[in-house]
Amino acid sequence: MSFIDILAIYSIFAIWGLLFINILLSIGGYIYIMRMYRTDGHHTVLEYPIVTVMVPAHNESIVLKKTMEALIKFDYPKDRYEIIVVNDNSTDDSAQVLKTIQHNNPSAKIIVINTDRVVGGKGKSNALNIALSVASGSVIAIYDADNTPEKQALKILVENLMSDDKLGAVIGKFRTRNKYASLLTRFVNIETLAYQCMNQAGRFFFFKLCTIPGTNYVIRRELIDQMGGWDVNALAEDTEISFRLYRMGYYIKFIPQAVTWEQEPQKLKQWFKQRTRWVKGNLYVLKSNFKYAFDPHAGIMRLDVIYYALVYLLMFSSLIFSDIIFVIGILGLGHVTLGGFSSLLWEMAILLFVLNVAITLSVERNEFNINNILLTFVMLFTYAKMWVLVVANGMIQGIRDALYQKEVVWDKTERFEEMTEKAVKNTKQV
Amino acid sequence: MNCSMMYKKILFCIVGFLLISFASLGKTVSSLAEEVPKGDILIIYQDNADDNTKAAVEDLVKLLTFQSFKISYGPASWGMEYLDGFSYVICYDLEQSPPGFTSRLSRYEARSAIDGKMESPHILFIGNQYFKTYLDSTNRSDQYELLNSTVGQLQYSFYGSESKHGLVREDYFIFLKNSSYQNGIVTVDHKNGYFCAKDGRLTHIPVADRSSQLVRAAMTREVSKWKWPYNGNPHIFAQYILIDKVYPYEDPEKLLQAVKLMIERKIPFVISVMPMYVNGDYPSMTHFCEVLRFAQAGGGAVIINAPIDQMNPLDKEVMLDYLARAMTIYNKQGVYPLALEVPQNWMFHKDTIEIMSHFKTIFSSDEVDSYLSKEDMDHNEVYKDGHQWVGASIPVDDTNVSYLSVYSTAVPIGLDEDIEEIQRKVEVCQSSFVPLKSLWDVEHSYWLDKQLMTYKNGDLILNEKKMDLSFTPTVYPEQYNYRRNMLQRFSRDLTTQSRRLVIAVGLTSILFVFLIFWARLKNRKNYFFHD
Repeated sequence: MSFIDILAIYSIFAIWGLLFINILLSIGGYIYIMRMYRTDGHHTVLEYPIVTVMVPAHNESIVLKKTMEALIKFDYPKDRYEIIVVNDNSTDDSAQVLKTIQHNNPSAKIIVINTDRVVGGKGKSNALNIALSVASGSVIAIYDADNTPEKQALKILVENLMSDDKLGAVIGKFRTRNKYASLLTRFVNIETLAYQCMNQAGRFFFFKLCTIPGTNYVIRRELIDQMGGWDVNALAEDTEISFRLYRMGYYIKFIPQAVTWEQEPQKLKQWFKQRTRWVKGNLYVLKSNFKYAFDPHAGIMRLDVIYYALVYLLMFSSLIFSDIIFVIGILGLGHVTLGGFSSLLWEMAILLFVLNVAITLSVERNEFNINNILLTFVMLFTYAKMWVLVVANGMIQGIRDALYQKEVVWDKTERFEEMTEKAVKNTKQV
Repeated sequence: MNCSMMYKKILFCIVGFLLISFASLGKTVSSLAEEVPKGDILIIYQDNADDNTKAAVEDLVKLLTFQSFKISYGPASWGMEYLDGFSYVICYDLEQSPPGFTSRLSRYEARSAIDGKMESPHILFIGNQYFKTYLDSTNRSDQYELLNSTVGQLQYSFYGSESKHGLVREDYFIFLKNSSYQNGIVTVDHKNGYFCAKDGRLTHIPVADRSSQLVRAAMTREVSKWKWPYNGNPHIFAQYILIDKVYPYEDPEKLLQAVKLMIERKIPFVISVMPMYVNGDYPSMTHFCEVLRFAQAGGGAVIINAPIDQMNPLDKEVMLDYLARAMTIYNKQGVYPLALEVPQNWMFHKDTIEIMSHFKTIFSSDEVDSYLSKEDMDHNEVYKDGHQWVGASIPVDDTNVSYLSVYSTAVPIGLDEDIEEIQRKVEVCQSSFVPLKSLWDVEHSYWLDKQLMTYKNGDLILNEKKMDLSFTPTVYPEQYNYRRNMLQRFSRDLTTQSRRLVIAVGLTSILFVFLIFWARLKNRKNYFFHD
């Protein structure tokens, strides 16, 4: 048996193993979402708690107006929520934009905290900790500055949180609001639906496990206080906080009716930067929590640690190996000699991948169409390959940061002026 | 005075130098002439001949080597130097000749037998163009008839059997008017000519195109008769039924069926097995060898196929090492291959000739080793090793039965054929005028790294031990330990896993399609309901 055969066996078992895990999660997610869609997502509560909506913003003036308009329009009782925007060491006109919004909405409780580079500009966790220090709500809601949540989102999230004492946080769904902006945002839209919403739903259905996505979620204030706020060293503060909640014995629920629309990177460079940050953050969380994978007292969160390990170690390495085998084969430098090994294995994997994404698209309005199915197929050979590069880059940067003991820097995603969907279509027609 | 003395000295020096030069040149020429071994037959072909002609000559050399003739061959300008060293000369498909060739050949034809050391010369012309030129140049234009047609019909009968027919093509045909011997009929323009005719020291075969199997067979027979110095036909060699290229992972039951058929009909046969290098004790291999032992005990002989060459260039040591490993595996299972089967071009390469020299009996198949580089040779070097050759039969019809008895032939049978087809071929072989023979009736030997086998007078001696050729059934363990590590188990399971995977993927796909339709239906209902 040659070395290339060993790589092939490893890749086949890893890819197919992970594929079947994802298929199971998709089936679970499908059942959960279809079941949830039979309801409107609301729960009856006797009294709505005070909610602090926190929005960390660093040079976000392009998108802030739209976000604030959406937050002010929440159908949550007006006297029961406040909005704290941390204008985190911005160099653009965010302060002016926020001032205008405050002036134009005197009935809404909007608190703006302008930080300088001494206090602020140290990343999202730091900004959230600053907001927490002045927050008066017993429930904290987090929205990124590029989000436009639907009107009922906050109410649904809070009602669900209040319905169960064991719930530490409730998360909603996020969608791509600029999906027609470029081919990249179309890919991101499909990825978001398939590998974030459906996956979250599946994990919640089977294991009551969810990971906080960083935006569009509510969390109990007391728990944040117990944790001592957000970890400023974590680039993926959302994943990190999820693991901590599980260790505290709480769980996180996914509600697909609570929707927010967010702006995704339109250009490859921004996307690459953002995803590299996510990878570095997730690897940091994985490194800090890997010990719990073998700790029986860690409870259900062990599954999530193992899942992250599978994605970032097994999936990543198997994709690299399968690509190496492919290139070696093309160059005629070697070939797999395993009995029973054939291209049918890869073709079946592709079929399942496309069907797996298709099932996710089918539960969403206006997403199940031939364009998206074709895009899914194209994604496999383009977007998925870029994911491998992102992980490789994140790993290299992580190792370099560890070796040179570099301070964690929040690499902010650049925002874009948006056209309306109709305008985008018109522009394309022209 | 001084001046004339000086001229004399210079002249003396020049004459001396020329004499020495001529003497040394003469020595060089004679030493060159000595380099070409005096053989049985010299084949001369066109200078600057194309690859097809060279391939045809090699094919002729191969078939003559099977008959244990020592052959030298080369282009006309080379060959004319060595005519006197041979009593039998073939001019193959010559169109033009180098200057002086015709007069040289004419002198050669006129040569008388050399005091009992050399026979009188025999010249065989294959083809028409140069034969016409030669006859014209030697004032024998009236001794032939020229037919200006490119197509002829050949009728040829082997040993009185039913005539075989085929079309032949040449630029034109000429036929000798008078001959002391004629055989076969070539009909051109409704006129009957011959396939082979002899007049004095000249013999003529008008058909040079060897692409037809009938022409190959007929020409081989006629060349053989031409070389035979006595009246009547040459010695009759036997044919062997060869179950060719049997792989250990093939269905042993099919092999057993064929073996039983041969044993029941008391037909001698040979099984050519493919070499195995590892896992010789696996149950499938043990079962395969059990069938081979059964065949051996029932009169069947086993030979081994040469390892498939995938080396460029060939490493003879590696090849011999693989052969030794394969032999050891078979010997351990009580199977004793007697000979080696090789691709047909192995006899034209020094390294493969050396590999073959380890075996006394060689079966030459119709296959070509495509990795083997071509070497320029001017004689059949393999002749020196004195092999017992068994060549592939020339398939004149679909039975592959041999119509030639001038050398030992193998009639190949493939295990992929139906048992009825095998039966039909066996019956044709049985009724053939070429006798069947058992490989056990001939002596064999081979030597490899640590193996020396001799078979003589019914005793097979391997490394000085007499081997038992009787059949003993294998006792199989209830559960065989394959000694596979985890990776090997995975690799083995991949085939079965793939099948399961196809089923699982099929079921998952159906489920997914159903779920997609269900979701679309629900979404549509909700949409209208909300509206």
